[in-house]
Amino acid sequence: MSALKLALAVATPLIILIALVTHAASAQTPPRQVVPVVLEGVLPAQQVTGQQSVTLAARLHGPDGAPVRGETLDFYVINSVFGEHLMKVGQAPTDATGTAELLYEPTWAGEHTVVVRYGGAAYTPTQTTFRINAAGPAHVHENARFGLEPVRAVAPLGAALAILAVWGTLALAVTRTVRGIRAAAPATSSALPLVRMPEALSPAPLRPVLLAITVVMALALPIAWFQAREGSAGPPALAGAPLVPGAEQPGSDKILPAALLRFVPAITTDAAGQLTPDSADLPADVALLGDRQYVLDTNKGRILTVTPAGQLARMFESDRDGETSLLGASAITSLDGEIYVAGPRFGTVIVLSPFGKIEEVLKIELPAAEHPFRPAGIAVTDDGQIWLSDSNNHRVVSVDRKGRFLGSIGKGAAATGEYGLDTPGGIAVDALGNLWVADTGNHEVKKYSPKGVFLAAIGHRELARPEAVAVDDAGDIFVTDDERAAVLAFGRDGAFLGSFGNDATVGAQSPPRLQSPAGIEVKGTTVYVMDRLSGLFIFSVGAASAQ
Amino acid sequence: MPLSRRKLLQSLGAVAALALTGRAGWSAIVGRTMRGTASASGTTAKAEHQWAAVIDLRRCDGCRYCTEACQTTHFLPKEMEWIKVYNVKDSNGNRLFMPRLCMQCENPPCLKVCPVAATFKNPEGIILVDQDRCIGCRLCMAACPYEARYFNFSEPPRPSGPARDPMPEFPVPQRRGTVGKCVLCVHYVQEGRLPACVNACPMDALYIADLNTRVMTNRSGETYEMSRYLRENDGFRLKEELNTSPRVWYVAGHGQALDGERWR
Amino acid sequence: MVALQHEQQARLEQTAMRPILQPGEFFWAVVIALSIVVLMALVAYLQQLREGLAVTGLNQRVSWGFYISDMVFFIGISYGGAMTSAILRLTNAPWRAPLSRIAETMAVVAVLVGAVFPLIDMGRPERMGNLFLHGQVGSPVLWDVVAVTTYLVAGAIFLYLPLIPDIAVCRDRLGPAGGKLRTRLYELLALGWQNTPEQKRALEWGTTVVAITIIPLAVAVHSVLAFLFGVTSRPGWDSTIFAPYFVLGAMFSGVATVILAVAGLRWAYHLEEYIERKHFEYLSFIMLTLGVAYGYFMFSEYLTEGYKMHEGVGTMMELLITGDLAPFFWLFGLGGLILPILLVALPFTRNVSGITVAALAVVLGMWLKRFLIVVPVLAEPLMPSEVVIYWPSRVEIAITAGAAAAIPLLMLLFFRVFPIISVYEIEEMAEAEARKLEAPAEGEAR
Repeated sequence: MSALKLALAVATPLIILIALVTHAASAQTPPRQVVPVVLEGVLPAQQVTGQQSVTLAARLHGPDGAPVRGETLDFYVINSVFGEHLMKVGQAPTDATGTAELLYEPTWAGEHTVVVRYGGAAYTPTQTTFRINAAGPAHVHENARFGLEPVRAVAPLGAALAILAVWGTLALAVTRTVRGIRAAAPATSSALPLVRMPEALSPAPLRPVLLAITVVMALALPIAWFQAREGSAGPPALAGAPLVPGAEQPGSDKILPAALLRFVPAITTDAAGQLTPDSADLPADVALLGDRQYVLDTNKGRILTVTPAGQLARMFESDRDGETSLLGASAITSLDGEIYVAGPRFGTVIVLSPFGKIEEVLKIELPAAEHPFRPAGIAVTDDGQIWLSDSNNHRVVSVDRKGRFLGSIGKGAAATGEYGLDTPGGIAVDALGNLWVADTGNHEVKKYSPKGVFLAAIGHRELARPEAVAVDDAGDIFVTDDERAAVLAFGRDGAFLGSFGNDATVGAQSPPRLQSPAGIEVKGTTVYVMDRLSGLFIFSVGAASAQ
Repeated sequence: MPLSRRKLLQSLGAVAALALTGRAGWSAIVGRTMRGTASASGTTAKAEHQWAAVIDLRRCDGCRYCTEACQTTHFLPKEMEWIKVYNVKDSNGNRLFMPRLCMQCENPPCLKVCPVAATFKNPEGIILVDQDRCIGCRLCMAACPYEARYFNFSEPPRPSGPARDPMPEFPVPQRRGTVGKCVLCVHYVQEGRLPACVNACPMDALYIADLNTRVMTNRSGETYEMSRYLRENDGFRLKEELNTSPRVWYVAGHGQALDGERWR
Repeated sequence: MVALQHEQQARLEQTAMRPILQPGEFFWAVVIALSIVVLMALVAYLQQLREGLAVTGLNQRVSWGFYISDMVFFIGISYGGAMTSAILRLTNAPWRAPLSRIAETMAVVAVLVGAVFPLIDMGRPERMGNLFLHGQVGSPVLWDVVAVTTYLVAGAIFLYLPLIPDIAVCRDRLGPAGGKLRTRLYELLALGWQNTPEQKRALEWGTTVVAITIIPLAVAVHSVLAFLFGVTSRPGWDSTIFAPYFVLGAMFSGVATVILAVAGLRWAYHLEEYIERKHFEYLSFIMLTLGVAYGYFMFSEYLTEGYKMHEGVGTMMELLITGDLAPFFWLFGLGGLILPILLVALPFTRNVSGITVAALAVVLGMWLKRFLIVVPVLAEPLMPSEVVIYWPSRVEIAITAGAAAAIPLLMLLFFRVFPIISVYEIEEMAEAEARKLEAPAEGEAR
């Protein structure tokens, strides 16, 4: 065996290995040179006065002094109007001497702390700070002028003179005339013959008819007034209509007897009327698990739980950004000891344990749609299907337990009809697996089979703005209506049973009535209603079907 | 009947007396009645700050959290959208969302037509409504070219918490029969806090600005020097041709910040 | 010199004053019926006071509706008084004499009713005093308040001054049949009128001055109402010809209302001897001219806007002319403008009933036109959103009906106290005629 053959045998794989490694290495981005660079601020040549511009400059060079050219420097000035922030003034590239220059016009007098940053791709990031002093008056914004100032100054005077002239003329005319007439009145007046009146005016031939008409009108009009329905005023416009309570509709002012078992306040404000730090902010939904209720604190991205004492305790707090952020989430539900929350920002469903530990984050894949996905409702079926209502895209989608898309209901744009949805809100699944959707824009609740076949639409005459829906074991449907500020109950067949939660059931001494009810859950004969502006209401309804 | 000389002199004297008192009374009247227009020009420049707003349309995703936050903060009914997000299709067929709040115009039509000067401008340039004076004639609503003013047709919702007296800077609760509108949360801004909408925008699309120091900032702390930012990003104002000189600038866009990977 | 024969004069006075004492069988029926309508309007307004403007069909976009249309309309129809009485007086048209009382009364009553509407429309009517305490001189609402108040006072004066001689006649000639209260009133208001030449001169002078004042005042009032809309930048209101447009519309609807009032009262009180067909014809000619002029203004407005179809104006015009509001627009155009013009222009329809029908069409059409000026412009969005529909609620309908009923009601009640025909003016006219006839005779005699 020759030495050459041995060397080749060893070297070849080694060479191949090195070639592979260097090839792989060169395929990546060139490694950042860990060469520290120095950034030096260059103070302006002369003192800055008034509101003239000053040149902010900084020089980027290597430790040996060699200038670095072609890199971008960001210039900031520390500003404290809205809290201490770095106000970005601009960017500038470094030239051949390594200096980058930016024109800046100071808007306040006094010291300006300039921070120049090199965020650098090619070298290590670095920054430098220096101060400049701007003497002279602060910049004052000049408001736009109305225009025609001289005319505006004179016009009121002119108008006043004209008005005075008219009143003066009238007064003069009246006083002179009256005085003239009075002055020329002779002392005595001669007796004049009285005017002879003939017989009474001959009655018009239509007299009986006219009298009859008058009598009828006199009786009919007040009756018609009190009988007339507000509905004759025509359809109120959807956008910007005043709050016309749906209770004016025939029969829709029925009250369902319901007792308020408990009210858990969620919103607390301080003396100035602003939310306290531990107050909830627009809690939009509630979920039940075991004996506990879970409140979804939408604007703060938290889940709160109701303690047996009736207080709210923090169960889970999400961070603001990131996939597990619950900031803005308005849909929560539960099944089999797990809590499901539809995360609004990244198209995810977050699964939590009852103690707030994140168990799973499901990425929902959905067909592309015109608008960003905004889950306003979530429901989970026994066989692991997850329904989500996408209010921005007017559809309800179904995904499996892994987040894979199964199907959707809805036309992708606001629509009416059996499969048309308009801004769907909360959804619920009943004991048979049917899906109930609160179709907010169409003022009704729609029912679909587990496969998505349309079955029924209820509540069109009674609902004004249905937000969410819940179904109890008997098949009764409870819908929160934001505009009517009440919960409306319907029988299994869609018949309206009555409403509760507004003034009629809660007495004058009771805690605040429903203002903006959103999420709803029902268990047995207890109905849990999440009111976004006040807190969690727990009602007990009688045997609703017995009505 | 010819006027005697005495009568003529008497009348002239009466006219002169009237003119003199009128002149003195006139200044008093002008001072009081010009509250709106007088404060609208000239006297506002002395305050330390002049508030304004910038909205980045490249970021707005139409979530309407700004509207909800504003309505929560001020206990407004659903129909009063002091900040309202419009769903617009531009001339190229792109869809974009455009929030609109009160433009805080420097040449405000609403202020000029108010018969009782219930709409006035505070020294910082914010247009406020004194709901204790407003008579509810709604001419300001007809005059506003941005449809930014809303009328309390019915009793507004009762705010929770301790009873408070509303004031123009924080008009809570609203008064029935008067007009309300966005006040750029001047009650927060004066304390260095952010307006409710700016604070609520999850896309960081809303900026609050100060025209004196030319600084603008959003809720994430992104701060820019306003003149340069608007110049570099082609900031524009709505209905510029009406010469209302609004203080809300827009950066044109249609949701560019919402890239395909994040949103389905 | 008494120009009228004694029996002529006696019959004139009889006819003029009979409604005071013998208003007729169904006077009370009509008054009760009208009062019920007015009462229901009051009930509706009380409901509005209690619940706020939420009882109306107004919304955040269409924040002005029936009430503002009614305000413009009712103040507009009062222009009939200014037209027939003031202008015709100054131009010395003798045929105006039997109509002037009715016209002047209608003017005052219509302004009274119309001036209430801004208060009804206010969200906070109890703060009306703020208009005077804190009035802002640059606001059209304030101009409106000042102008309408001045016009109301001027109209009342203009009604009162020529009424003085007639009050004197009532004071002297009605006797105890007039009742103690009425006689006391006559004595107070007649100011000791005894028909002496000095008194006549004083009255002439005063009436002429007020007549001259009331014409520019009337122009100013409706111009100011037009400025309420014209100072906004809304497409459809942002028009430079709004002031003359409104003034013409007011005069047009005013003359038509005078025709209606005259026709109605003439039929009810049998005034055919003094208000003849020729009076209707002359009034209808004025109405025709004003109608053509109004049509011209409308044409100018719509042509200049429709040609360019600027943003906002274009969609609003389409809404009005070919869209959802087209039926109302064309109903006004054909039924409220073309039809009356034709009825008056064609000789075989130019009789009392034809002219009355034409006047009715004009009055109803002009109300519709006011509505079409106020509401579609507000329904059309200024920002990118949809058109918003406005439907009036029953409160608004009730109050409008009440206002429409209040005008004839007040007029009927007024003519229970004051003569319905201006006896003095007819005598004046007769005297002037006689003097004209005498002068050339004298000239010839010399």
